Amino acid sequence: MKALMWSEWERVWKRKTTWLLFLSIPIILLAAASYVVKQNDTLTADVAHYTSAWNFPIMGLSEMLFTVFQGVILVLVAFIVTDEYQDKTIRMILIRSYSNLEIIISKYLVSILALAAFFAAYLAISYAVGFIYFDRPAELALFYQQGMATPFESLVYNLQFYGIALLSSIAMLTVLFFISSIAHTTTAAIGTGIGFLLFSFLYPNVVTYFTPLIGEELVIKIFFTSIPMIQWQGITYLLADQPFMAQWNCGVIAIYWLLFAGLIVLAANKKDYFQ
Amino acid sequence: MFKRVWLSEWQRVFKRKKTIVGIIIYLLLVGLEALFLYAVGGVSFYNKDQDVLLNNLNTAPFFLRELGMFLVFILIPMFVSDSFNGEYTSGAYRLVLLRPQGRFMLFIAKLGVQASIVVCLLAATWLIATAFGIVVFPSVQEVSFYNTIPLQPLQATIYVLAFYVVAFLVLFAVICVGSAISSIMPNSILSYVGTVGFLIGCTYLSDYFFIFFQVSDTIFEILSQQQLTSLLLIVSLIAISYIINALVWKKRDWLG
Repeated sequence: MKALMWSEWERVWKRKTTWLLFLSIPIILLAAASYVVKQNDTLTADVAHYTSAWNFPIMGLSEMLFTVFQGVILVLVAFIVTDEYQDKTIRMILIRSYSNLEIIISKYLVSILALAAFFAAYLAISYAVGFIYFDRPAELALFYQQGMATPFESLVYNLQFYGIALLSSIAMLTVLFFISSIAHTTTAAIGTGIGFLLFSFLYPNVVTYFTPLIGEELVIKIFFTSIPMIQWQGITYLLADQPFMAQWNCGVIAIYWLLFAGLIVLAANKKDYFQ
Repeated sequence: MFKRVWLSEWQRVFKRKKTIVGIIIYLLLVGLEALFLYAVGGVSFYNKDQDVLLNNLNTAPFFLRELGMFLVFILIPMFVSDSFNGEYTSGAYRLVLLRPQGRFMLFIAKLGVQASIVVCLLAATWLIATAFGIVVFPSVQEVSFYNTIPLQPLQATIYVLAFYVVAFLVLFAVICVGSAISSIMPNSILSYVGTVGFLIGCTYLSDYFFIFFQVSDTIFEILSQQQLTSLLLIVSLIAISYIINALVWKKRDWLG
């Protein structure tokens, strides 16, 4: 199993695309920086939305968590799962005496590792970009927290934020991994994946039309059944002085993970990779 | 000659199960859109701030408000990267190239088939939406659209048809951009994600590129002649992708 994971890991880094994804991080962060610099002009330094070197890792992440990170997950799982199946190179692995389940689990763990590496690189480079682009105040405001925080406290906050963002992204990865593992072609995998993402963006907004009909409490609960919405607002609520919807959001993430991890196991046992 | 190339491309597109499934899902979504408009009481929006009551004359354009996203970001990129990239990268394209047709003619046939699928989908949407509007929503004698004078039924129909023509141009631009990216990229994953990434990434360059997110909102603005920049942008996207395609398709060593 360890050897299987190692070979999988090597194959991830053999692809030029993986390197391209990681090399694009500085460009993405520069785009995000130029965007929030414009926002700063309209803000004063004592509000949480004001970007400094200390909170740029978060401002730069929440700007891109929607688009770039979902895209990275899509590309990673499409390459790791569907592409090998489609061009039949997976047969080379099946020659060895591993079961389907072992292969799928090692692919799953390796894609999580690659995603975690992407998050870590993003955090490190965003500090570097933040140092160049923004001023370094002695203290700053955090979202939904009383008083001001020191740079060290904000580092702890950033780490917590990235940790939760990674956990929620793993739930998303599990969903997309399942879609990729049952799709026969990469375009079908990505199309269905983007469909799921668009659906996750749209239905929380559609539900708000029905607020008078079903009540505000239920609308908020339905709103936070969508992973992108949890990533957008739920994380800052979770890290607030008085957490809001914390249990609900963690429960939703856990249910997504359990459901789709179970489905992956079922699909791995049923799918005939020799087809 | 061209007719047979066209037919063979058409058959290959519809031999992929994905095409049929994609079209069926789209038609289901048209039905859901109708249900949605009925459930919210026949109210839709010109843009974020201006709402409008639907009636028998003005229903059709608003179907594209939500369905546009599905076409732009899912259906068209999927069809295009299968047609322009999938065949080439899987090697199946060599069998087509056995015949002595001009390479560029094949490209035109592929573009034409993709465009005609989109025309069929838009025509179906227009028919269903118009019928739905006549049956379900209140009947009126005249109607005014976004910043227009009150229009008679015939004029209103012409306005709606013009709306669908511009919508087709927008979707055709997506096909062209997708085909250019698919011709360059080394595999289907990158051509799909590259197309979608290009459409999203462009919004960082200029706000006019939000046309791909807000298809109907922008077309209403174009038709009321508030801004023609978006239309210009669409036409230049089509032209630039055509030039890239022409270069790639004529120069490429297809058997390499």
